Amino acid sequence: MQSYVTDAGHHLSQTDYQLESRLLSAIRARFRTYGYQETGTSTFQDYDMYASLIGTVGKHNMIKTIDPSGDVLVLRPDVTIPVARRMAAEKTTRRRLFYVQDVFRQPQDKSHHKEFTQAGVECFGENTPENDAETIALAVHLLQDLQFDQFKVEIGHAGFFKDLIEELPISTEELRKLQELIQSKNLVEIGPFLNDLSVEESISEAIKRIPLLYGDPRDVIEKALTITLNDNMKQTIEYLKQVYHLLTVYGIQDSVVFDLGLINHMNYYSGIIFQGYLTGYSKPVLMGGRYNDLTKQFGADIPAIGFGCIIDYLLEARKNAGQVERIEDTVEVVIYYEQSSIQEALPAASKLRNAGYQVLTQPIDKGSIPTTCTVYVTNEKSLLVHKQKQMPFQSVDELEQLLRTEMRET
Amino acid sequence: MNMLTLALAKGRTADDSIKLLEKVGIHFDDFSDQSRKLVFYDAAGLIKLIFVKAVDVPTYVENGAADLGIVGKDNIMEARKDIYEILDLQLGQCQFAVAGFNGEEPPKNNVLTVASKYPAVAKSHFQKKGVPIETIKLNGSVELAPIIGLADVIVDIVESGNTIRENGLTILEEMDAVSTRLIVNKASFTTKSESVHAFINTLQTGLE
Repeated sequence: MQSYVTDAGHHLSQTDYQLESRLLSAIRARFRTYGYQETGTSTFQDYDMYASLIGTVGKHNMIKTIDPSGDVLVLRPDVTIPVARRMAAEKTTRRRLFYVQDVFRQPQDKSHHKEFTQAGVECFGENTPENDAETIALAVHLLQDLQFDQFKVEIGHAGFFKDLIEELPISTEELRKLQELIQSKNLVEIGPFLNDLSVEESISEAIKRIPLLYGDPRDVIEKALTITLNDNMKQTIEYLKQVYHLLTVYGIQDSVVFDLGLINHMNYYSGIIFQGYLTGYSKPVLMGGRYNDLTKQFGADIPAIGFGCIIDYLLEARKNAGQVERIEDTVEVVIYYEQSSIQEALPAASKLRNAGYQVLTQPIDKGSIPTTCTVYVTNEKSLLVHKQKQMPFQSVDELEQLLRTEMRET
Repeated sequence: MNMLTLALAKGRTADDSIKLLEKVGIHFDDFSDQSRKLVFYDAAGLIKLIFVKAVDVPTYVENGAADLGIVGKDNIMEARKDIYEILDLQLGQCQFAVAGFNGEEPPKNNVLTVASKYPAVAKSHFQKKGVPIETIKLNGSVELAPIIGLADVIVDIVESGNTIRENGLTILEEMDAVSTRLIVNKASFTTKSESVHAFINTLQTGLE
């Protein structure tokens, strides 16, 4: 006998699949209400494309395959990049797209999953604070739809940190370390680290305060203004102020916090970045930001913003929070028939299915199936039974009429 | 205010950490490191303290099983978890060091073998210097490894250096300083912001 459990992929039970599919239909519906159209990308992607894009997915994190001609392909490690590439290739400048696709990454830790379902949006061709605020509003709306009562979207800006360090004469390795210290809000070690690098006093002071630029957006903006050093950074703060104002117009100011120490490992972000956390769940369930420069790598110049949420995390978080709705395993209608009435029973089932009902057919002597409405088609009688109410009918049309009335009540 | 879960590392700094908490007014009346109990509540009912093995503290905090953790920098560096490292509690101060036999040339043609309780720390240290190494993970009595020829050198935390000297080894190189830190789960930092920040501020007053 084969083992039931392997560590090849992630394991969802049948109930989990049902829950996931409900989650996805809610998410798809929400994306559509903001004018997004569904799109998709190939599971196999070009390794060379990912390898040549700096600061995207690490080479070690991609799952590679080799085709018969010897070319290396990777299993889709991300969706944004192929979507952006197609935008550039098709010379389109404006489009709102959403996707629900699996992404594959080789985890550092072998016990983690290689495969995740991601749902996200990419909005191409718009580049305004209004667009940024709307995208964040969509993220908040989505988390509200999924009935998470407590969540926060952290908002930062990729440009703020980049502008600050632009003037620093530091190596890539030192920059990596500095980012790590800022990301872990390690106030203890940032000071000594910068001293060792003989960074100019004013810049060093500013960097040390980045991890503290966290919390209520109004406070963060105020504090940030006291340390901004160059014009670019001033503009960034001014921009964030506008976005915050728009978020208050959407009425979602209580769901957001600012964190100017937020640094995304995806290096292509150029503007606003954000991530969503749920109370009681330790990983960010959604992540995104503005990436105006990505299409330049494919010879186009289309500003864009997007975010993706990891469905596996959302599902886990909902289960942790005990928000698991009951999955019905009963069908709507079962038609029991005698062999002599099969001529009436099977066409009746087809007709009801055409009308959108979930229908099973079963010979009357072969056991019963859990159901909401029961229909008997025998020589003596044609009967619909629903909630102990018995309703005879003469024709399929009449049955359909009865069902419509009955189902409306439930 | 949400109740916060604090993971406290068992071992040499546990008592001092509890003393620091007492000093800022967070009392665990029934706490004793001799007790077999692993969960304690503070008198004000705001903190649930779980008493866990030091190496596990970063794991508890990263996964959100604990909102906060008090643990040595050595374990934080080895675990390399995605967490916030907010305060230096200035307890259990010591240092990472490379130790081995004095004057002995590193092997010319062989890869340097390093025994350590902290293989990831050792690897990243030598990687930065451009020295390829092989690591051997040990769980204790690391000083023994060079003596019996299991490894060329060791990487370990050193307080006074007595253990190293008594075993005939010398500190060849000093590495990062180690002390006890307060670490915070990233989601808790954001979603339980009020309680977490209050705790950080309270603890900070004890450090001044």
